[in-house]
Amino acid sequence: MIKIKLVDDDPEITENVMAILKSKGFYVEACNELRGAIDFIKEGVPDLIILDVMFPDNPAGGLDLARELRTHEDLAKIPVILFTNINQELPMGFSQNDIDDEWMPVQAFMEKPVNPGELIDKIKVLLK
Amino acid sequence: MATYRLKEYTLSVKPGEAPGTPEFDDKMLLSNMHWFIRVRWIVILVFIICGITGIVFSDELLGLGFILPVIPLFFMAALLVIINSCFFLISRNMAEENHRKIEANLWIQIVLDLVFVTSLVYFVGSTDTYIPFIYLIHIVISCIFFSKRRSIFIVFIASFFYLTCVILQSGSILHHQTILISNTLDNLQTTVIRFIFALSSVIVWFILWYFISTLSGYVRERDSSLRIANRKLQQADIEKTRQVLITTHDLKAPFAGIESNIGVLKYLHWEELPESCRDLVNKIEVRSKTLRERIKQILNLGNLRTQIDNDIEIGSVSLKKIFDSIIGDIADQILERHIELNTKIIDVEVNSNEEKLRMLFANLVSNAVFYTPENGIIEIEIKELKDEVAVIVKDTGIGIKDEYLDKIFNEYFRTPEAVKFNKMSTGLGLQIVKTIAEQLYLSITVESETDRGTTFTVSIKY
Repeated sequence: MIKIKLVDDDPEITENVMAILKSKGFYVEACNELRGAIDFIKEGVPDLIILDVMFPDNPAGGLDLARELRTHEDLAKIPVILFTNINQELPMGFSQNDIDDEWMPVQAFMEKPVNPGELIDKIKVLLK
Repeated sequence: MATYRLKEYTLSVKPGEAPGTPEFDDKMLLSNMHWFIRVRWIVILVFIICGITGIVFSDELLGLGFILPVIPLFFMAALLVIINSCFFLISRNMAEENHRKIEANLWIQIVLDLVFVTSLVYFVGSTDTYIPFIYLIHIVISCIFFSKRRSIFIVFIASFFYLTCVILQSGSILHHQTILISNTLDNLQTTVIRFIFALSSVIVWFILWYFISTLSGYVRERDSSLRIANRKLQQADIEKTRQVLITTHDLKAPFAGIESNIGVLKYLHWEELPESCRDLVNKIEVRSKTLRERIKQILNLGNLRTQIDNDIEIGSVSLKKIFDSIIGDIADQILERHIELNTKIIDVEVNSNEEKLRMLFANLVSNAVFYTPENGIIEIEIKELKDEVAVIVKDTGIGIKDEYLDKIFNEYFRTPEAVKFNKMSTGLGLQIVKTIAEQLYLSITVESETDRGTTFTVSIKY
């Protein structure tokens, strides 16, 4: 069974994404805090990781975590999807075009609220 | 029990930037050092030209009563070439952070320059010409570049060198030199007159030092205050950006939560809901999306308005890249609503701000999508004209009545037809377009016909 790990501080979003993914037969585990997120991901290495960008204790926590994942040999190659509420606004304005190995080392980028169908499609593409 | 004390707000100011101790920072000192070296090359050139003039026009100069110290001029030029080359090589490898080395290098340059100036003064005539005033160049520069305390030190060094030269000449330890073959002043000169001349020159230097260093102190203090004010503004701007980021997140997150719940409802339980409930859920979804969109646009507009023109980064922007991304974003909506999209997009680059141009065109294109009925047509064209690029966004949408055309860029303005056709309209999209157009100096033309469509033409100067 394909294993997906989700790190997002919003329990409601976490619950909903888990429900959608489980309905499609994925095994999903979630964590609502940045602290200990690396250990959570390392305990049973997943096939795909979903990260939120902003956390209460670090507005760029998801990006920092994505960068840290790339420094762990066993996690570096796992595809990452980034969820965010703030991709379209100036002056932050980051988008799919900003994905880059140094600054935003992720494979896909989705704006919240995520469309369930699009999420499933994206996961399928990334896991191919 | 743990205690935390909120510290009072302080502005981090680098040493030397606080009012009262205004001095140039290392970057500025280093750039001054490079400037000194460049100026010294010019001085060397002047020495060589004077030397050549002394040889080529020696008869003419003799006729005028002058004899130039040709050999000393060439000798000093050669010596300066060696010294300046050393300074040049050293300064090339000097890092900005190395404050002590920069300062030491500058002081060595100043002292050596004063030695050369004294030599020139000696050969030209220390008390029978106006050459001693050449020291003023160094005094003025030191007043501008250094604090009052340091610049007076340079005036003392200059005075010491000059007066030593005069004393050595008066005591016949050094042979008396002058470019004047004979003049009345020279004939009349006695040791006392020489000293009066020399001392009066030095007194003038000190008076000038006082005025220039005081004035330049005021200027530096002002510069320092402005630098601090500028840093405060930069910190405020960073803080504003942080606030916009957090506010955007906090305001949008609840609506994203509502829409996420609706998403699950629609994805997993839609068939279980009766038709009447589905209708209500759709209405909730539209309301939530509208509010989320409005929040986004209010924040964007607020952010755009607080930006200063000078802060807008201008660079080469590929319009094709922008439209590829916008078209990617609207692809699903176009497909869903059976809208035909025709594009004539050429790969052209303009000098502008990419992020703002993207936002402007994203608003125009999404307006075209929102206000075009199903099976309509949207055309996007980029044309290269003589001295500008024209970007045309044309739709076969509901159009705008003539009476409303001059109001569409007003904040929160929506035509009654627009409100009826698109409930998600916020009335802020074209205000954002207008604000960006003003900031980027773009002109926009709108042509519209009710029920036939609207054409926006954005002109971007090369």
